[in-house]
Amino acid sequence: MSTAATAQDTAKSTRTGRLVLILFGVLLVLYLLYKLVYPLVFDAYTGVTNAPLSYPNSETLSDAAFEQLALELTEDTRRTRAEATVAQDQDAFARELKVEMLMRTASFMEDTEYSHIKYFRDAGLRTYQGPSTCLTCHETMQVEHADGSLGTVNTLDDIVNSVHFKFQSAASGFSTFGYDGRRVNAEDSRKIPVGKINRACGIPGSFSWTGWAALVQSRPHGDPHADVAAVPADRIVTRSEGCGQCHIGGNYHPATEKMMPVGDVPDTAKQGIDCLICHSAEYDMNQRYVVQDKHGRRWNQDRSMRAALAVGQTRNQNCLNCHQHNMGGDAYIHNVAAKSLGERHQRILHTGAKRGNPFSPESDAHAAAGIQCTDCHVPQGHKIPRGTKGVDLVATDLPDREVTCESCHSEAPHNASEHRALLNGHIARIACETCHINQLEDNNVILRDWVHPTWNAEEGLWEFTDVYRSGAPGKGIIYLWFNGNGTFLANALGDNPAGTGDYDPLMQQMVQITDPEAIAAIRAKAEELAQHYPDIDVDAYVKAATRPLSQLSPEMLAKRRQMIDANLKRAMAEGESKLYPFKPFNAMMYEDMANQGPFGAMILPFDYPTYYETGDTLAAMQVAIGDPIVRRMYQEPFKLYMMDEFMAYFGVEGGWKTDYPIRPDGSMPNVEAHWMRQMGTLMVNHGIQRQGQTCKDCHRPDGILDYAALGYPPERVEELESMDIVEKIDGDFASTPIPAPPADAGERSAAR
Amino acid sequence: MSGIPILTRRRALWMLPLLALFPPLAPAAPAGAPAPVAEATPTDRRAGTPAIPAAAADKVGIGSRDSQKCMRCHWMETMAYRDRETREIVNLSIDADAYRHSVHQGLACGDCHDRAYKHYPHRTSSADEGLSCVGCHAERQDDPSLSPPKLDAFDVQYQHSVHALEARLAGGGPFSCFSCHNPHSFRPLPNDTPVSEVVAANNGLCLDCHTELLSPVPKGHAWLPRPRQHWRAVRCLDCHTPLEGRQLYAPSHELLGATESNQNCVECHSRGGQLLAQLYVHRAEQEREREGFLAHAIYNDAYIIGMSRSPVIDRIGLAVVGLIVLGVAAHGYGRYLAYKRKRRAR
Repeated sequence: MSTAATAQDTAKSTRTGRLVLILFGVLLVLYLLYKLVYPLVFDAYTGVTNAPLSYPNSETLSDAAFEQLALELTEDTRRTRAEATVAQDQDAFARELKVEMLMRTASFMEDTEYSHIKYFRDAGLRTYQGPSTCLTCHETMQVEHADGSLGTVNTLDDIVNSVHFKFQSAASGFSTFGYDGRRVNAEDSRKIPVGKINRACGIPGSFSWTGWAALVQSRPHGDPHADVAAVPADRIVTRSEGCGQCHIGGNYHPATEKMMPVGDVPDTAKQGIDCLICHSAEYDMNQRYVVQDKHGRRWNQDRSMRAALAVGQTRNQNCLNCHQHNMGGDAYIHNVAAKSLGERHQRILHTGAKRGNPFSPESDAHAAAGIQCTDCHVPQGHKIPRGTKGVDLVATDLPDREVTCESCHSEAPHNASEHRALLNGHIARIACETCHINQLEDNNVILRDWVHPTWNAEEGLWEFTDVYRSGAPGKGIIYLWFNGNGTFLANALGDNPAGTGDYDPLMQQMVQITDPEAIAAIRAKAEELAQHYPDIDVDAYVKAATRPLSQLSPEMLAKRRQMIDANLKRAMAEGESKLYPFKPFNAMMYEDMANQGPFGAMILPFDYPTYYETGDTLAAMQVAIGDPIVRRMYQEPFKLYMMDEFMAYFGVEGGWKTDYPIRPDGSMPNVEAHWMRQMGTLMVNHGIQRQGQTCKDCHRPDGILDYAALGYPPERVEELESMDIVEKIDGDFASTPIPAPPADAGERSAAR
Repeated sequence: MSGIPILTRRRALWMLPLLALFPPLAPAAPAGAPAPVAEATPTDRRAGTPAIPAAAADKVGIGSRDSQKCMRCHWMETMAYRDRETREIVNLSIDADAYRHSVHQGLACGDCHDRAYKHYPHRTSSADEGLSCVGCHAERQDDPSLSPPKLDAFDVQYQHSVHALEARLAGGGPFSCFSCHNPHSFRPLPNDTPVSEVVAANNGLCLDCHTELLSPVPKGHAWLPRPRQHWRAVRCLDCHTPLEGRQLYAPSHELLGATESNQNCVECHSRGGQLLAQLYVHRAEQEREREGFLAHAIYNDAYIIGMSRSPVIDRIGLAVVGLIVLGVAAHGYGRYLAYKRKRRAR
C-alpha cells in the first residue's frame, strides 16, 4: 500500500519534473531562436548587412608615444587658453612673455589638462576601441530629469535608444498630424516607427537605406557623358556621399532593427557608435569618409588616441560637426567641419543649404556670446530636447521638454530701446525668430529639380539643379501662423488668433510663389535647363514649379479642399499661434503615382553613384528601388506592418498599393516626375541677429507680411499697413544705432 | 503713471484678485452686492484686438473712439517692460475682456489718463501722472451717472497698515492701491464664489509679492503647523487685520505686520471663531438657502466638538454616532427578543 503510494508520488513528481523540463527546453529553444536565428532571418529579409567593424586609425600606442601625445595635447590647449587669457594686452611682445609665464604657472597648468589623459594613463589604456573603451568606466551614467530628480541609466542602452542613433520613434510625442487629421502615433493609435530613417524627403533625394554610404567616381573637368568604366583611373577622384556622414552609427546601414517591435541592433553595430564625434575636442573630420570592405560600405570615423585623450564636455564644435551641414550648410564660409572633407574619398559638398541659418559667432548672437548648444537644448543623458514645436516628421526623445527663447529672455526681452514696451508687445503674436532672423544664407535652396541634373565640371559630377535659391524675406523665408503642429509633409499649422478664418496656407502660401523676382529667376533657370533638356516647356515648367497645385486633377483638388477643412482645421486651431519664419522647400522627383493623394505621391529615391556619375536620373531611381528593403516595402508584410498606416497619414486613401513601380517587362507606367503638391516649410531658429527687422519692413503696404493672406480683417490690415507711427520709430532706431559686438568676442569667450 | 508693477508671469492671478478684499462695498451688503457677471464668450476672447467694434453699447468705455486709439497698441498681451530700478516687469497690457467686465467698464481711457497720451511715443512726463483711487472716487461722488463707492474708510485703514508704514520709512519701496489692485480688471468676486477660490484669489495677491512665504518653513510662520495647507484654506488677511471693529462684509485694509497679527489658533478652530466670520459669511447664507435653516443648523461643519473644520472628522463622527444608534437599537431588539422568549416559556 505504502509502496504503491510512494510509487505514485514518484510518478507524479517525475511527471511534474518532466513538464518543467519540457517547458524550460521550449523556452530555451525560443530564446535561442530569438537570439541566434531571428537576426539572421531579419538580415536576410531586409537585405541589410551586419559584421564586426574595424577602424585602421584605432592604433595602439607605446607608453612613450602616449606620453608624447599627452604632452603635445596639453601644450596645445594650454597655449591656446593662455593666448586667449592675454588677448587684451596691447603689446605683442608683452603678450608673448605673458603666455610663457602662464605656461609655467602651476594653477594654470592644472586647469588646462584634459582629464582623460590621466584616466587613460592610470588605466593602462593605449588603444581607443570605440564604445567598449568608453564603457570600461562609463557603463552607467547619471541623468537629470526635467523635474530635477536624478536617475541612473545604462549608457549604451541610453545612446542606442536615442534619436541620435536610431533616428526614428514608434512612441507618441509627435507634433505631426496626418492629412487624415490624426496625430502621428497618438496615444490610442497603432504606433509605427517613423522619423528621418524612413521619411521621404526631396532635400537629400534618397532614403537612409538607399543613400547610407556611397562611393562616387567623379571626373573633374572630364567629359560629362563618358562612361566611368572607360575613364582612366588617374582621371577619377573617388568621393564619399550619403546620410551616414551625419549619423553616429558606423554600421553598414541605419538602425534598421529598431523598426521592429522585437529584436535589437546587434552588438557589433553598437560597437560602431562614434562617441568621439560628440565628446572629443580634437575629433578629426578628415577621418569621416566612406570605406568599402568585403561586407559593404560604411562611414569611417576618428578612433585615434589623439581624439580619445581630448574627451571633455560636449561643445558647440562637436554638435556643429554634423549640424552646421543642415544649418549654415556645407558652403557656409564658417563651417569648420566642411573644411576637413576627408583625408581620402572626400565628402561631396552640398552647395545648396537646407536651412541657411548658421550657428557660429559670425552669424548668430548666441554663438557670439559663447552660449553652448546644450545650454538651451539641455540633455537628459543622451536624450536631447528639440522643443515642443516641430513642423516636420522628426522623432524626438523628449517631446515635452521646452526649448524656448523666453526661458532665458523672459517675457520682456527688449530693454535697450525707448520703444521696448511696444517691441515686447509684439511677442503676443510674433515669434522672436520672425524679427531676429533678418535673412538666411543666399544659397538657401527653395526649389530643387532632381529630374534634370546639371553637370558640375569642376567637381566632375552630375548634380541636382537648384532652380531657385534665396535667403531673403518673402522669397527664401515665408511667414506663417504656427502653433507647434505640422503635417506629415512638413507644413506648419496654425491660425490667426484674431482672424477672419480665411487663413488657408495649404491652398495659398505653401502652394504658390508670387514674388516677381523669384518667378523671373525660376524662369531664367528653366530656360537654361531647356537648352539641355529639349522636352522642357518653359511655361509649363515655371507654372508647375511656382503653382504646384496646377499638377492636381480637379477631383484631387476638390478632395484636397475637403480634407483640409475636415481634417486639419482642428490641428490648426489648437494652442497659441504666432507668426514664425519658415524656409519653404519643394523638389521635383520621380513619384509612384499608384500611391498618390491630394498632397502628393510616394517619392522614389535615387542611387547616388549612378546619379552623380551618369546624370541618368531614371536609371539612378531604378537602381535605388532595386534595393532589397524598397522591394520589401512593396510586399504584403511591410504593407500591413506600416505602409498602410503611413499612407493614411500621407492623405492617400485605400491603403498602400504594392505594385512595384518597375514591371517585369521593364516598363514603369506609374512613375512620373512631379513637384510635391505643396512646399514643405522648415523651422528656422538659429542665425539670430541682435538687430532685428525694422518696423517698416512689416508695417507698410508692401511689407514682408501679407496681412490679408494671414487672415486679418480688412480694417486691421489697413491699420497694420499704415505708416503713421512706424516712420517716427524707425527714425529713432536710425539715430541711435545699436553698437555691433566686437567681432572677436565670440572666440574669446568660447576660449575661456 | 500708467504702469502697474506686476509680474506678468502671474498675470493669470490678476484676473482673480478682484477679491473679497473689496467685497460688496455698499453697507447693506449682500443685497447691494453686484450680481455675478456673465463669463466672457469665446468669441470675445478671440477678438483680442480693438479693431473689431462690438455692439453699439460698446461705444462707451474701452470701445469709445479715443480709447480704441489707445487699444491699438495696449491690447497686446505682452506689452511690458522691465523697470530699470525695481528689475520687475511692468505690464502695460489691457485685457479688453477683463476691462469690459470690470467695475470701471464705463470709463474711457481718457477719463483717468490725461491727454498727454495722445501721441506715440508718449511724453515721459505723462508717466508721472499721480492717479489715486481714493481721490478719483471722492471727486466723482456728485456724478449721478457714476456714483462710485467712497473709499475714504479704506484709505484711513490703509494709512495704518504695515504697507503704508513701511513705505513711509526711509528706504521703503513705493506702495499704492495699484501695488495690489489692477483697476483695469478690478471686479469684486461674486458672493457665490466657492471659499477655496476666494482664498486662492486673495492669497494669490499677497503671495505674488511675498514669494518668500512659499518656502517649507515660511519666515515668521514657524509657529503655524502645515503652512501650505493654511495658505489654501484661509486668507492671509483673516489673521493679518485687527480683530476689533471687524465688519462682516468689508475686510479691513489695515494689514498688520507679524508682531501685531493674530496667532491664536482657537480664534479659527472653534465654534463662532471670529477670524473666519468674514470669509464664511456668504457661504453660511448660501448654505442656509440651499439646505434650509434647520438642516444647516444641524449639519454644521463644526458640529461634533466644535473644533474641527475637517469633513473627514465630520464623517468619522457621523459614523460613530450611527454605530452607537445601531448598537442601542440592536441591544433594544435583543432585550425585546429575550423578553418574548421569557414570556413564551412562562
